Amino acid sequence: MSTRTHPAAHPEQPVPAPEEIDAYRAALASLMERCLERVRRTPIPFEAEPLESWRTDD
Amino acid sequence: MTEPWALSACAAADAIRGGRLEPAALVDALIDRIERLDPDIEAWVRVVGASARDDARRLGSEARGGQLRGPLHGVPVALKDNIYTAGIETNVGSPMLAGFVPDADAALVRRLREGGAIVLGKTAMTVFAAMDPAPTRNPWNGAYTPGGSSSGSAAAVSAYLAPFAVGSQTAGSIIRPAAYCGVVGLKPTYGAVERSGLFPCAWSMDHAGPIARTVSDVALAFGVMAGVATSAPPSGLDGVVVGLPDRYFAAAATPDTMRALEQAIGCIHAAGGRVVDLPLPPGFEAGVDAGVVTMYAEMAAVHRDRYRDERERYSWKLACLLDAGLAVSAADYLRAQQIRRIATAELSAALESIDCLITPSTPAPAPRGLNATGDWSFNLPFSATGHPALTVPVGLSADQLPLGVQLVARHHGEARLFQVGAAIEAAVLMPPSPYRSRS
Repeated sequence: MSTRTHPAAHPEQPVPAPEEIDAYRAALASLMERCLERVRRTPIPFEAEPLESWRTDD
Repeated sequence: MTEPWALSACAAADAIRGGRLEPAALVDALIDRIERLDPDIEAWVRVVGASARDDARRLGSEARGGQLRGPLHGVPVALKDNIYTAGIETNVGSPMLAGFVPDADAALVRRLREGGAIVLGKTAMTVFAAMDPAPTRNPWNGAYTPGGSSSGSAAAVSAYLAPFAVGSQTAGSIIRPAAYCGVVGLKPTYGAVERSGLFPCAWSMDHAGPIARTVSDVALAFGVMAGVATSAPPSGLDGVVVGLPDRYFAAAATPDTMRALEQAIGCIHAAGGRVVDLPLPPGFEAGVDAGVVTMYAEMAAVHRDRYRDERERYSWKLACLLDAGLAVSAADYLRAQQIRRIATAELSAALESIDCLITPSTPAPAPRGLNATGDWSFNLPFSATGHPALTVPVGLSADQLPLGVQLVARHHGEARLFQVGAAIEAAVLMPPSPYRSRS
């Protein structure tokens, strides 16, 4: 065998009815809103280090 | 002698070093097995038999001459299809990247090759490491998902189609599939394994790490991938303190999962370790939410141009996700980074008083069906903070599906994870997947 590739590694996912897509979109929006709400209301301490030093690859 | 395809990475490396196994025989045995069994699992998207055999012959000749490139000399590896491989097509699970052939290896692939590993091929993954699943089936029961997004990497190792594999995790994509497939997986400290040549999902949370059938194999592969020296973990857990989080995990876990956690705690006690209650820091949940915001916003940034130009080629589910990410403002994204930084510092401080945390690896065993890849909520917290996490299998659910525990240590504390993981592994004697007896 030299090189083998699955011809259809990701079979087409059927597109659901528009209402189902709307419901999924709404659920995702609700999750994001919940996460954003907590992110916005969590206080940032005055003495927190500057953002630019927050993460490095070391 | 054990069949070559059934050898662990450590055992195969040892047999090659000792002149008892030819790398070519190992590669042939694995390719033969993939040909026969992978049509049922669909873990692999591409097997590069010719180049793997060429590499195996070269490495075999070197070994016979006493020349060993590194600790993985002659051992084949399966790579998730979002890891760049020079001259080997790399699709990141998407037909949109059909025909894309990187002209250079990812940094981690260079390290693996320098350590003597043989690239056997690429494994299936969810589209762009997001929601749309691969066709891969769970080797423990084909009606269940293997998890994702590193679906093929975990399934290939579990089905004895590779001694070890590399996956990647942005939310829970190493720990979750490894746990669902009953194998060991490591999400290293953020940045410990270089990400250059890893197609980004969300860059500040992307981690590449090894999946294998034993803790020792994961430790060996991690050492090579990260360029750090690893040694066999000390046996026993005398003086080791493991923290049990006081919230978040237990409330969401099934009874089966909690029983598995209790069993692992019993193993820790039996090995001489101590398990103490650990109050999670106050900002833990905010850190999780900041991780979700970060992940979706960065995914949208990665795909923005392509999504604008080829929107119709994105699945409806991924389109919803990218729209949600595009709606995050710059101010909210930056605030999420500040929250993550605080949550990371708080968790690091909590981890100073113990050796590692223990949690269930997932809220429940693998869900039935292949349309979704399961729940990452137990893994994303540590992808957001960059702390290393290891999943170790501890038993089976009532439906005979694997259950695992997740261990989490301070940054660059992988050695402690290997020590505790090895003690649990030695005590539970997890059965191999049903594919061990398939030929």
